[in-house]
Amino acid sequence: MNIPWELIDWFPIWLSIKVAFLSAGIVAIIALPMARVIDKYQFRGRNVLEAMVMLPLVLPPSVVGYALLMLIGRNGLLGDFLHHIGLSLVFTWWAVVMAASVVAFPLMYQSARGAFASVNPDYEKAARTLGAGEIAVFFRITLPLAWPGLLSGMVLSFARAMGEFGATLMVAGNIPGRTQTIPLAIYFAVETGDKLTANTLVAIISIFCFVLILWVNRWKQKYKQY
Amino acid sequence: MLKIDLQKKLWHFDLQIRFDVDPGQVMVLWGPSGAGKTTVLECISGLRLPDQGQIELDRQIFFSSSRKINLPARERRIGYLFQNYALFPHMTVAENIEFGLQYHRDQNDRAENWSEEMMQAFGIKHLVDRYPYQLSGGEQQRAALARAMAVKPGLLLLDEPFSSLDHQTRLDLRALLKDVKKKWKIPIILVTHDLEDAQALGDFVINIHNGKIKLFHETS
Repeated sequence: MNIPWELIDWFPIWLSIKVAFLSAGIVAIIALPMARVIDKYQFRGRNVLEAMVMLPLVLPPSVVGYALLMLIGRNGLLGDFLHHIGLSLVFTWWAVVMAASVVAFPLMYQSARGAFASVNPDYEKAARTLGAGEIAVFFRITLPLAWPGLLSGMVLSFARAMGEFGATLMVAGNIPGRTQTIPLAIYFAVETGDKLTANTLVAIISIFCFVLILWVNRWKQKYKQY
Repeated sequence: MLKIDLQKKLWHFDLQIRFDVDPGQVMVLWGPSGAGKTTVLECISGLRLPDQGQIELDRQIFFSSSRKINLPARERRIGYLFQNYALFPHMTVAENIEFGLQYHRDQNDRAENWSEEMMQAFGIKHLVDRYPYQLSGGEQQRAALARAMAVKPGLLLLDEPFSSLDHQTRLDLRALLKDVKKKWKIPIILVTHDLEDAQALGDFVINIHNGKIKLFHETS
């Protein structure tokens, strides 16, 4: 098989990986503590808050894109202010990160929520009676026991961030070499009849995601023997 | 000496409990499910907060609503045996027993020797590197007991410790508990449904119903 590698634009791969890692990281840092706190405390408006957090999962990506534009677009709430100080988020790779984070967030949050809820509170109680403070309880008991679910959430949100298309197109555009992620590049390649790029990218991302899921499932089985 | 006087408003009724337990005495808390027995244990151990009252052990005040004192659970030095043992599933037996030792450093300089002694005393030395899921019910109970006693608590609370065990194992563990009672001489509170447990181990029995003490009698 003779593949003309030099004809392929590798930028989308590099961008998608960068964005996916960054988004998954941002999302984990926010969703984890949030899920932990919400799991432990009952408060009024909890259900409303959770419904809002889960919205990007069920809304059409173009709605998510529209909402983001209202935030960071030229005349948006944040965008207007940024424009005044000479900055613009739209049509930059930061907008790609934002779009990917927003759609990945519900996945991480849901996984984390489930993971923390699955930890039997008796373990935490036992740790307290044995002398552990709350931080020790969290890092020595809660986190290790919730870890498989948390890792699943991170992998899922990584994959979702990597595959984001609709909202990305709206806030970041399909700019080759700047904001063109793998999904956008595939779409663009199909539109212009560039079979080489389309096939290569589809193959790469499919194999990557498949291996990722296989690895995580294997790891989860080995880790949780109890 | 353990002095308890607590009130707490619960879902269906108000908990109002008052009793004393001497060192080396076993008090049996008896009552139907939902009577508030576990809540009493949780309040004594500091896992839950009573609305009012005072909880005192050997003159140290754990909780006092009038003086606004509430010592957190980790500082009360209490041994607690949960209904399903609550052994940490991701740690070996040895790691479970050693868990509390680092928070009570002052007394346990030779942590490793001490945990070995405990495992020996509770008959689980051969299980040192096993995980809880690999142990039988009786072995898990011994490990949970060893873990609780390893921090040299001033009080031992047991929540239906023998409920899912077969008869012979119950007898063995009852003997073990009698040993603990004799050796450590701390107040012990035992929540149980089992008449034989109550008669074999209890020095006196408190019968709780709907959060209030209905009956109190000595067993001898």
